[in-house]
Amino acid sequence: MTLFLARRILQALPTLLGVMVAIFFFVHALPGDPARLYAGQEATASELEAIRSRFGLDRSLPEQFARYVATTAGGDLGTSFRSNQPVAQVLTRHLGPTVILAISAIVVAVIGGMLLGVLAAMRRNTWADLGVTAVSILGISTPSFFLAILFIYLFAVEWRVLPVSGSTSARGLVLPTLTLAASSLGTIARFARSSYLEVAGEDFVRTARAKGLTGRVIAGKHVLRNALIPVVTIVGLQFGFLLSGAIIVETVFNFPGLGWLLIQSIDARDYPVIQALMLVFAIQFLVINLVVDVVYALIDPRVSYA
Amino acid sequence: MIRSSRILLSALLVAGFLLPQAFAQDEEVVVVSQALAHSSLNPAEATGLADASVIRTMFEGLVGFDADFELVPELATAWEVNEDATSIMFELREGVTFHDGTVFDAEAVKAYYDWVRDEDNAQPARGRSLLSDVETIEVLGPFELRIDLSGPNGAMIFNLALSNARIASPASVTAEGADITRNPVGTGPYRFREWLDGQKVVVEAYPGYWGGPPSADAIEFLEVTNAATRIAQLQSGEAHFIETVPTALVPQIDAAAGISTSVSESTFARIFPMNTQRPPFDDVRVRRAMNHAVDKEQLVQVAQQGLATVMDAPMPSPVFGYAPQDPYAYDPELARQLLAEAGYEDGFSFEVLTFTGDEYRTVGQVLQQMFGDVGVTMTLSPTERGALVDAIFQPLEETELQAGIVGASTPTGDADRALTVSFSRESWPPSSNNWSFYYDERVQELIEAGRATGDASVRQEIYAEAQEIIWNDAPWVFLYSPDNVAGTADSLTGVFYMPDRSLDARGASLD
Repeated sequence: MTLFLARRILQALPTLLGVMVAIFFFVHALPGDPARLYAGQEATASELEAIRSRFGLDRSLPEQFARYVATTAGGDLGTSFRSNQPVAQVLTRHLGPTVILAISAIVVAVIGGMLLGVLAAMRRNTWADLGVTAVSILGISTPSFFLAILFIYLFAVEWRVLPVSGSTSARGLVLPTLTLAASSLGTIARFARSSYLEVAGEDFVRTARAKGLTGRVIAGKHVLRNALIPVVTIVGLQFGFLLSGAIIVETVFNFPGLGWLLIQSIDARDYPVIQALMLVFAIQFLVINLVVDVVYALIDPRVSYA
Repeated sequence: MIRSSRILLSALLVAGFLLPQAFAQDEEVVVVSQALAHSSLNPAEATGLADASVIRTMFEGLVGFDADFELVPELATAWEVNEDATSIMFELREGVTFHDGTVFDAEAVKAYYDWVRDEDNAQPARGRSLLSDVETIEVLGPFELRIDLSGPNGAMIFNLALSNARIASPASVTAEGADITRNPVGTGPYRFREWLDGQKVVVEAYPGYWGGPPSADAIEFLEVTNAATRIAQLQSGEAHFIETVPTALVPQIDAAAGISTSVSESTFARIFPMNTQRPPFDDVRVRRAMNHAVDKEQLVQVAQQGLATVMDAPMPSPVFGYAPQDPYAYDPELARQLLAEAGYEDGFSFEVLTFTGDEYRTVGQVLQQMFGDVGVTMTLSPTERGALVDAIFQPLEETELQAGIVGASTPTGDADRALTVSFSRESWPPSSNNWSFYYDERVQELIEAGRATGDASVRQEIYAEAQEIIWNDAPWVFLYSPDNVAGTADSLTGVFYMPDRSLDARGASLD
């Protein structure tokens, strides 16, 4: 297992370097001058010059790239153009809210999605199944900006039970969580249902039944456990998306997470922050994929990485 | 498993709905929801309007602007500009202390401004360029000061009223390792409490304020870029004041109980600059034709629900020196005739880049139709802000722009700035905002002359002549000046938009 982990981590390094090259040149190819955007439309030439040299933009592109790789490898992510703070500090400040939001959304999505999916599978072709299907598809296909506005209108403006803008306080978290969880919940419910049905039709389930096991044991121990494997993959991927910053949800609810930060940084062409965010997102996906592989091994004894 | 998750779910729901609705608060906190992000609270550096609004509560200048953009005393009690506008005398207010306890006096002003002017300081670029005409600052007495300029500049006093010239405690900026962006120390009625990046800046009453402590105990400046979210906040009572209400939503807010909108004039302009150095717009007849082709009253109705003033001068009316001109009447027949005289009987086609966003899109579509009525075909290319800024800041040899739909503002509230930035030779892109590459020898002379005198009535006359020339040369289709539209809770007084679209929240008070 340790060997497997070490190999996977080593394999990730070239991927990360590739990501860094791509991000750097992508960000610098964006039209828009960070100094001009920072200083405002009315800035004079001498102000712009001062700002460019402060940002290091007066150097040649290869020189900037070399500095970027060197400092990043040394663990220094640079200084934000927009806020003049160390990028690491800016990221940490916004990472917390996103992690809290992603975890609360994935908890709601997994619990809700599994319950609904298994319920639908066990009551296949009844009204309950149909209802779950309808809810899942609504959750998947309703755009989050619409859902967000709908929730704000109902809960914050009409009934006034929850605040409009999000924050990491318990009340501020409810609406962004529900909005963000909706699509994952639908996806997980669909996967759980089909996976459960597939497994329930397998030979070993018939065998279990023939052994005389009760329906509850079969459902819990044999079917559900095996049905979880594809669901875990999906949960992993979904969590990756949630962590990469729910850009729309964070923007509408004014929730100060990484997605919100990304939008602000792109708008200001805050190169160091955009580059660092992209790198963080790439690392997140690498880590999550790794965790998913490990969890496979834990759930399914046939999978091993020895 | 099923049972425990059910309990968890219910617990989550209960937590969400039943937690106390509002935490009991002893202090009176005014909540202002702003449309733009905060990026710096260092007055000499901050360029954003959201920052300027917060900075105004914590910092004061020698002079400032009142609600009508007239100069008023702040830390100076009196000032006098000499006749040839090369030096300004100030008498300073006594009994003022900075939030860090430093005493405010002539030495403090000199120490702070000299720090701003020091080329070795990387940060205060904007403040330094405002003060670039300052030669020396002379302390004449404990509360008496003279600023000598390197040449005549009749507009200097307006520069000193700007946000970037507000004065910070010299001790706070020179302290070892001081992060001036985030540790603002001024003399204003409010002092800094906290800044949660991306969420809010909070300021609290400064008990030692020379004018007596302010009415509210604290002001929270929230950062809420989404307009729908701001409106929901006002409706739900989460915010007392919200910035930038889309004009289409004004009736909705006015119809609701306990909240209303307020509308005031701005120093912003929506303009349609035409490249006067390149055909077809190098012909003044074509440019006048374009002005006659647009029904500006209708444009204001469609794009702004009437909440804007049609321009009748090259600058909006709150600007000092503004001189109204004879409007270009809406007359498509005359427009077609002028085009024919210029050799464009069959019209012509061209492309414009515009900002994305509802207002610009609507303006573009209305203009497209009105130009179409006189045989001119305009193609619209909505462009993301950064890309558009790149495109419009190209020098004449490289620019591909024939015309644009852009905004212009005059944050100094003075004609010198308005004319220099938009119509002087030195402001041709890429150096500044003369988008139409306009040049007129007489206008250039007048701008110089206006700078060379401190006499307000003489300046007024000079600027009136310059505006008449520009108006007749029509380098822009002069569109409109959009109003500032804010939403306010009925319980709040004392927060309002300045014409430059920053807020004055110093008088905030709740019933």
